[in-house]
Amino acid sequence: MANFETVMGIEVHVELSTKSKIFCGCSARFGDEANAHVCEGCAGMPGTLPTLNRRVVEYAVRAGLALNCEISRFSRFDRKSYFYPDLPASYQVTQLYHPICKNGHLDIVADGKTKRIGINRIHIEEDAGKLVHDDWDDCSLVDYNRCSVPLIEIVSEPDFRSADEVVAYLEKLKATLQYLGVSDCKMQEGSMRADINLSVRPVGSEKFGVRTEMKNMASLKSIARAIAGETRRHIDAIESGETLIQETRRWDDNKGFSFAMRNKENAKDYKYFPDPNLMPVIVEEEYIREIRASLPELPEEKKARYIREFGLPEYDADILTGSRYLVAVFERAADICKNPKEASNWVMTELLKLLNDAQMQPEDMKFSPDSLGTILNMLTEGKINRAVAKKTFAEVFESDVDPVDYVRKNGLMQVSDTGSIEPVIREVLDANRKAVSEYLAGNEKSIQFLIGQSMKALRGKGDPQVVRDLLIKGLDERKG
Amino acid sequence: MRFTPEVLLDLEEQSKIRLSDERREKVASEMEAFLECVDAMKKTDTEGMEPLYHIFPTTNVFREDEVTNTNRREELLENAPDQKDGYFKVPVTLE
Ligand SMILES: [Zn+2]
Repeated sequence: MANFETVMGIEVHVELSTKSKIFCGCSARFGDEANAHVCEGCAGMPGTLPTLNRRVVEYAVRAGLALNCEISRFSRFDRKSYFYPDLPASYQVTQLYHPICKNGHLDIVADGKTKRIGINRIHIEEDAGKLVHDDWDDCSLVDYNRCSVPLIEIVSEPDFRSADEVVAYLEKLKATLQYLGVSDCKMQEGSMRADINLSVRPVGSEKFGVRTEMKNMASLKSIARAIAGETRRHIDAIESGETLIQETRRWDDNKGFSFAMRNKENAKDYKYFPDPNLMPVIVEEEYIREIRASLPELPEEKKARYIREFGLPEYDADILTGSRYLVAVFERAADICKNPKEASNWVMTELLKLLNDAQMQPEDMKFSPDSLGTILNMLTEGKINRAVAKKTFAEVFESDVDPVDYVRKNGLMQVSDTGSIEPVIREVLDANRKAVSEYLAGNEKSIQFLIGQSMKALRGKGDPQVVRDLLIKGLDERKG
Repeated sequence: MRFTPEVLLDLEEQSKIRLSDERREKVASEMEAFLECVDAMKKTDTEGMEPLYHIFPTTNVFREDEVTNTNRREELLENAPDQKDGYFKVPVTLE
């Protein structure tokens, strides 16, 4: 195993977050009933004419600039022909010969090292429809809602040597594209898909081995497993003298191996030719300058600023800036409570835990961006204690309650006036003679038990400091 | 003869059409004549000439990103050879 290295390049398809499709006025929204967003144009009927969605060019240029690409002043569209029911026109419009962006790069951190990954090109194309197999009726069913949704395909150089590098690249790419607002990059909904080209060669060899491509990887975890599995298959074949075939394969994550695909992916000839219905796109310098000026602060700059301005640890800054959705919660909370470190701690511990428990991605969060800041203010002002703050935040996360309302309706305001707490303390001391005598005999730990009992009697709302002080005072009085 | 039976079969497969034996012979000679036109064009000196992609000197034809179509599913499905539960129904297609 140590004698071989894996060489990989990645093609990432990203659906752009436009309102409408690339060449017609159908909605590009995800998740509606099958074939709700279909017209004669995107159904591939003869006699229809496409008109390019202006925003598609804008988003592609935004992505290209953020990924350090040259923007082509001239680009145009080609037809890639294949017969498959997900493509009703029997060709896909893409940009083979004159892509909109070329020669970029993205810096990633993997295995503790920074590495520059080359980006060969970014081109615009259209998505295909979705096939559902109907075992009952022994037929296939087609939904064209995704057909002609705009995509960009980001093609890397064969610069990857490990699964860690691949995963780091995909995460960085996802964060960057989400920041730019050009895509929501939800792998589970198919708006971000990765194809991995993989070959294996002896360490030190300059020549690439036979390359296979794995299509449409659905999650970062399965990508890591697929790379390990496919690398093993290549090495086994090389060592046993078998011939590897250049082909497209599908990784079966349940079975743990890849198998060859027998469809459009291995078509012999796509018969590319310029699309006669679409005019070339000319991008002016002025337009590129405008878009460059409108780019938001990207993950790297933001991370550096968090460390510099807020004094956050690098690890925390890295996690926070890894998703624009975490950034949104953090920045709003920090702004409201004027305490970036506290806001960061809450995102890093409470929010990440809630996300993890609910098996959710940051982009799936639904609560109001102001809520965390409001809770932190109530906490610093002493209106609620920390335990109630956590409970309230969990409620906000779960069902987007208004934190102030929630605390009021459930009577969770912190009790800190001595007059209300003292009688409770007296009762607790009377009811727990054993713990009291243990404390008086020198076992100071038993005060924790008494604090717990007091907080319980105060229904969790007591001010922990006041409770502790009054308990010590009460215990001292009983010393005798 | 560039359109040998093998080449023709391959083209048929790629175009998803099936020719009868007698048609095949006729098509081969028609396509040969067509390729001769291409040969003639290839002899033209195009040194230093920009390829022409469109006969109109138009560029940057755009529409704004607006949803202008409504759900016309039933109407669209009427054009389908077969349908089921709001889907276009096709023969079993495996990957
Ligand atoms: Zn349409």
